[in-house]
Amino acid sequence: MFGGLGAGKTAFTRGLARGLGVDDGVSSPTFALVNEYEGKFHIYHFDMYRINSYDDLYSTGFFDYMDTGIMVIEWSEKIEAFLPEQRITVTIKYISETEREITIEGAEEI
Amino acid sequence: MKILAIDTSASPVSAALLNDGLLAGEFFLNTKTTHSQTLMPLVQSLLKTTDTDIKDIDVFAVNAGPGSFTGVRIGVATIKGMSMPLNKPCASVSTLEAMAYSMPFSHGIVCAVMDARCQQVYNALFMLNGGKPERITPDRALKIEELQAELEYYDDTVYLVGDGAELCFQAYRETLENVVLTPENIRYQRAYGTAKAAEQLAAEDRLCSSSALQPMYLRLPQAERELKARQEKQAKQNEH
Repeated sequence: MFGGLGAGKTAFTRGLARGLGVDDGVSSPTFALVNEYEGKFHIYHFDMYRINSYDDLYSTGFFDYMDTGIMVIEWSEKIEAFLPEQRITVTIKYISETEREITIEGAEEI
Repeated sequence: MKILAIDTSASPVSAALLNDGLLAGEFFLNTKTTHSQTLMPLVQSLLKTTDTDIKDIDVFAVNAGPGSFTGVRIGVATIKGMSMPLNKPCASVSTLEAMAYSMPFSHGIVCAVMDARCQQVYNALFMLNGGKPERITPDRALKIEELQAELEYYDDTVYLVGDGAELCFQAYRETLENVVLTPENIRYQRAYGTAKAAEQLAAEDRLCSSSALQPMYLRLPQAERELKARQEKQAKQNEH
């Protein structure tokens, strides 16, 4: 998920989680780095804002979570080189206080 | 000498008990369950079914890396926890070396590969000659194609083991004729190999204390460079 501060990445994730049966408890994992939710699937909600090196990323357990559930990644800008090729890219652009432009790529197969 | 060994470095989990060089018992699971939940019941059952008191264990061995971040920490922390109150030594075993020790029957080269993601693998090469595996390279992280270029120098049979074995086999099979994908039952790291490697460490007086036992992580230099390059590019874009 790409989009700057206040773009609505966490709000988007909240909606996504609700669609997968998680009704509450979704909050920004900026501090915790990753939150886990149980819905229709395991959902791992990452925030990469504070990730600045490979070691940082590795020590979040990022690679251990792969292929075990749905990974929702805020601030993907920070780790673009490590994102798997098979992924859905969501870009949220701020238009105005009440408007956003959301681009979803890579979801053709779903 | 009794050695209790565990492996939690990747997807499978295993525990083994070696009694004077012979395998007294080994449990292995590959069910994608959380190691923190499966490991202790496994160890407990192993000790119980082999009628072994934990106080009689002489060496506590663990695959201390390379491997998954969480997995390696679970293994190292568990071994520390069991050995510390008993004041017994630990064996810090390389996961890759443990794999080589699991297949001493063959002759040729063991190429231990673990999938480190981003088209890279954790790897080490070992020469097998009937005796104990002889290390050819240190543990390192490298690109799949870099490893291929290196393997081209060898004429011996190269046995691919580890959770990156299939990945490498698919990449190399067209060009490298001497590369063999080992069958699934001997492909993965097992605590038996860890225990055999620990036995060797004990013979060489290279055991460590529980407090000195540390996870051994390998860096991915290539990945680090790519991330830095992207971040710099990003920073430049933001300036404009």
